[in-house]
Amino acid sequence: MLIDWFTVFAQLVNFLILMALLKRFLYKPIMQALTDRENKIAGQLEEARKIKASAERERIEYVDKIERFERQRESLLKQVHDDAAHEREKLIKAARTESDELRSAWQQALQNEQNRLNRELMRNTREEVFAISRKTLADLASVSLEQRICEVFLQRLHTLDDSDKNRLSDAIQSSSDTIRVRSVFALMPEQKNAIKQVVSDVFKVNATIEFDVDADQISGIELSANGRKLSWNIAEYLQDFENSIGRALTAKTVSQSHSGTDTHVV
Amino acid sequence: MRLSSDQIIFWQYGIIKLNGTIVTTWAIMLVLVVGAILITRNLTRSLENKRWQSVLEVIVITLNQQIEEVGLKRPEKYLGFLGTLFLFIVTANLFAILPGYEPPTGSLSTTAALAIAVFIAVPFYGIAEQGFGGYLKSYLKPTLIMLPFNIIGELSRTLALAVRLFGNMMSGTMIVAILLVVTPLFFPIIMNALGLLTGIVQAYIFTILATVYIAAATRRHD
Repeated sequence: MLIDWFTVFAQLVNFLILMALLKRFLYKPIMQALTDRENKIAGQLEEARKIKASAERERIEYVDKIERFERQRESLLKQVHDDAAHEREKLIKAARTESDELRSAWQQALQNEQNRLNRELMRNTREEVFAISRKTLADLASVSLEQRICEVFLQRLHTLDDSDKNRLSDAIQSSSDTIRVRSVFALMPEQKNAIKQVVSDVFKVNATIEFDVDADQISGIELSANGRKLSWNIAEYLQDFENSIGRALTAKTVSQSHSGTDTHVV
Repeated sequence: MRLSSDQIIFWQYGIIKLNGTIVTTWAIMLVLVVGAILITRNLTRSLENKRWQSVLEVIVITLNQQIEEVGLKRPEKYLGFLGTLFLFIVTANLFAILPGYEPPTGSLSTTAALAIAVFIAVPFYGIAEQGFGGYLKSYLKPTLIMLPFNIIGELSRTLALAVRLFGNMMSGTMIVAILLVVTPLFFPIIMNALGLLTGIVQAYIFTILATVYIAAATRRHD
């Protein structure tokens, strides 16, 4: 007999027991482990996805930040450039103003120096002219310069034309003050008397005459009353001389300025 | 000549007896269960796997895939029955490599027991899936006339299952035994290797057929 029915039954039972045991000890734990692992992998993938998304967000944020910084940097750079250009312009303007002021001050100083020299020259010239004239007159005509000036002045009083004489006469007559005679030298008493005499003769008045010496202002002899005055002096000669000297000095200064262009113009 | 290990009787009391088939089956059960306990005792849930755990996982996953490929929607539901069927048969057959070993699958009692198990499991799963009425209706398909043929088919395929496995395994053992007598040196080794292959193929066939029967019984006929 090939089939033993007890064995069949026993094997059936054995199979059912084996099935129960393998279910308990093999399939269940293995399937559980597989499910756990799958869940774990899914969790890790999800986490990785989240991290990736977060990284992407941060990347976008940083790119945005970098762009913003770049824009800010460019803007600041432009502002700095503009400020520098503005400052440069301001400095150039200030330097130009200062240079103009210096040039102006220098020109003013030059002008002052020229005027001072002119005045000095005039005084020296006048003294020289007086000295030469005095010496020449003394040598040639045995006459003092002062005396000759006085004579010429008196002569001029005599030879006044009518209109001048009337105007001066009116001024003397309407003057409440005294008549002033100023001269570059002290007049002798006889000269004073001669002047008084001539004034009295010419203008027909008996006025008080005051005599002053003013070496700085007067270059001869001058009579003044109520704003009118009559004089003889060497001012005209001196003026001509001054003009010619002035022209010479100007010419010299211009030539110096031209030759010194590199030195003065910055 | 001894055809089956049933004939090796260690102990008997009336009809209750302890023969070679039962003892060998217990040994195989012990190996399977102890192996499973040892391996699954410290299962890791991390991504790095232990070697034996990987082997078991591969086996379980492959079984699941095979069941699913045949057409069962939720393979884990049938894994307990079909997986045990395959593992028991394949283990019983592969131990044939040991000298003096007689596989319990070479006993018609064992293969009949397994075939009966399938015979019971088919209506069990069929009723669980589509209800008692639904399952019984499948015997009337396509027409009422087919009812006796369906019943005969049910019985005959169970018989075929039992005899196929028994015949293959018994003949394999027998051939090796006969060849040992005829050409004792080289040829039996090749036949033994062929016997191992046959054993695996038979385990696969038995399990796949059982799966197909269950799938046919659980499929809804809309």
